[in-house]
Amino acid sequence: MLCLLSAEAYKLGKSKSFYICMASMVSVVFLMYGMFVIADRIERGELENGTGGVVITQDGERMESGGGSIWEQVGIMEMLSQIFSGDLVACMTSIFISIFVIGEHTSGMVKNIVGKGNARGVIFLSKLLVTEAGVIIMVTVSVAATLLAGRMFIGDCAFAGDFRENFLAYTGVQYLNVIALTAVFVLTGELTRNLAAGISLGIGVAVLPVLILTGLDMALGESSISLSRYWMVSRSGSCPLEGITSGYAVETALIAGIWLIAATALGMWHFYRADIR
Amino acid sequence: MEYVLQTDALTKVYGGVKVVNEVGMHVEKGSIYGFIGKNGAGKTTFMRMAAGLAAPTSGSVTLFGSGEPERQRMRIGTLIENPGVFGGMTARENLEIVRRSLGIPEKKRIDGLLELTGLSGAGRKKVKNFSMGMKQRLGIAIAMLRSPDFLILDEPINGLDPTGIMEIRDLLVTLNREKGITILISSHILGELSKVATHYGVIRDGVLIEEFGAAELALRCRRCHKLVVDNAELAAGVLEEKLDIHSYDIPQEGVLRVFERLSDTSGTNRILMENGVELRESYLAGQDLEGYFMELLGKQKA
Repeated sequence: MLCLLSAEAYKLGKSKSFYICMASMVSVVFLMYGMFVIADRIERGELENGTGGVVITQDGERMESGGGSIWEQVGIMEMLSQIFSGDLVACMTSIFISIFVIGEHTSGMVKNIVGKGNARGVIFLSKLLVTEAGVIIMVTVSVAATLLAGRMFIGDCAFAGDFRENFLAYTGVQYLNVIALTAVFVLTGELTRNLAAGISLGIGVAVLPVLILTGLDMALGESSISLSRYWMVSRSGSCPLEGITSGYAVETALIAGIWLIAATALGMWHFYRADIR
Repeated sequence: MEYVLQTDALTKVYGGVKVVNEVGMHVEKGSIYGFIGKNGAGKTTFMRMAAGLAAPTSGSVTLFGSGEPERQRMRIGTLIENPGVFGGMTARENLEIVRRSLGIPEKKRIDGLLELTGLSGAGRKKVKNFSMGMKQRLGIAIAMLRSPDFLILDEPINGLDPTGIMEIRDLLVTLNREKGITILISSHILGELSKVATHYGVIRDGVLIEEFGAAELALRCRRCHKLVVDNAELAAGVLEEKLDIHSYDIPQEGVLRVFERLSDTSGTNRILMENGVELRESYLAGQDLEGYFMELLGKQKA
């Protein structure tokens, strides 16, 4: 197992998609801050809304100068919620995972590993573990970029009050969701073993269930059933920015754990059963 | 006889079609076994089952005399269909991945293999920029990483130019003779295969038609005077007593293959007839290996 983990870690280190996806996520973080910097200048009357053809709206209305600062309403936690709940993490990790997992099959490298003394289940597990590690690194770098940019654009006041507690609870819960979602993406990659299909399906898994489950929740509105609370991407979007209770954290851990185990078991079963081509 | 690979009624069914149909192959230790068949005959599927990449529908695989092939597969190296390599990495990086995966501690093994396969000069060149021959040699280097006792190579000389073919051929002979590695190799280039193979297996439509040695093949392809007679034993006696011919065989009832006096077949015919042998057919036979295999594959189809 350690040998396989070492090989997978080596592959991750050499994977261009890993660095490109990570750089893209960081770029989006700074892009979001950039948007808010413009909004802040409009809010403070330093810039007229619509300059250069760019119109910024707030709550559906054209934003006008209010004399204050946008940073009084938007903090680092709101920026984090944009990253986790805006499909950025789900879509970027889905692309990275598809390339990292399916590339093994399309290149044929998997033929050099399977049938050489390592159990297939162990091969799949090592791939999953290193993919999880890769995704955690990507997300951590994005979170770090959010904090760094927050320090740059908002200043020390961004870290005031209950920020530390809220930040730790919020990111902790989101990491649980991301870990479970990664296992689901590894499973889709393993099932498709085709790059185009894997990426398409991965993005579909990241985006579509949220819409479908929200619709179902509305359809089941009169009952107390809410299906979306059992899907990680929906939970990421609805995760409270402050006041996360231990009950909510435990519920998230349980749901993430069930998805993680189910996706891993199904992926292992498929990898064990399916022929390597 | 010690066999490195033995299969018993090995069968693979895809979508209701028997792609490999009850194949019983015997690969002797120290041999180079040429696996011959047309496209879609089932060669690759058979090799994938032997290598553990595909599960047989039925039948069994015995590797190194053990009925537990999973354990024994650590002793085999494979190059099936195309080299499994990452195009965006160098030869060394690809080898490093497999070295780590297989838990081989000696890093220097990679240098030795790059040297052995003539890739030590590739340096930082990405595999995607390699020629077909270089990729094939890298595939063989990967297959060799764990110092295997048995190599399974599927079409390793496909798409290579004559120089590339010669390089791979020389490499295989070196591995077989100097390192004692048994090799199972499939190829469409039968002329090349015949230069290295010591044993052959012919597969058609998933069925292993025949297995034979190189000596037997040479005999079958040998130029001869083929006679179809009413009484082969009587004809044999005439050949020995009247013509002093001892180099002949009787491959089937009423058929003789005479390997002497090929320049005077009419004289042989005349003496046979004078001594009471009824001669039904008489002609010179024999062909090159490629022609023989084509005839064998075609004949079986009819």
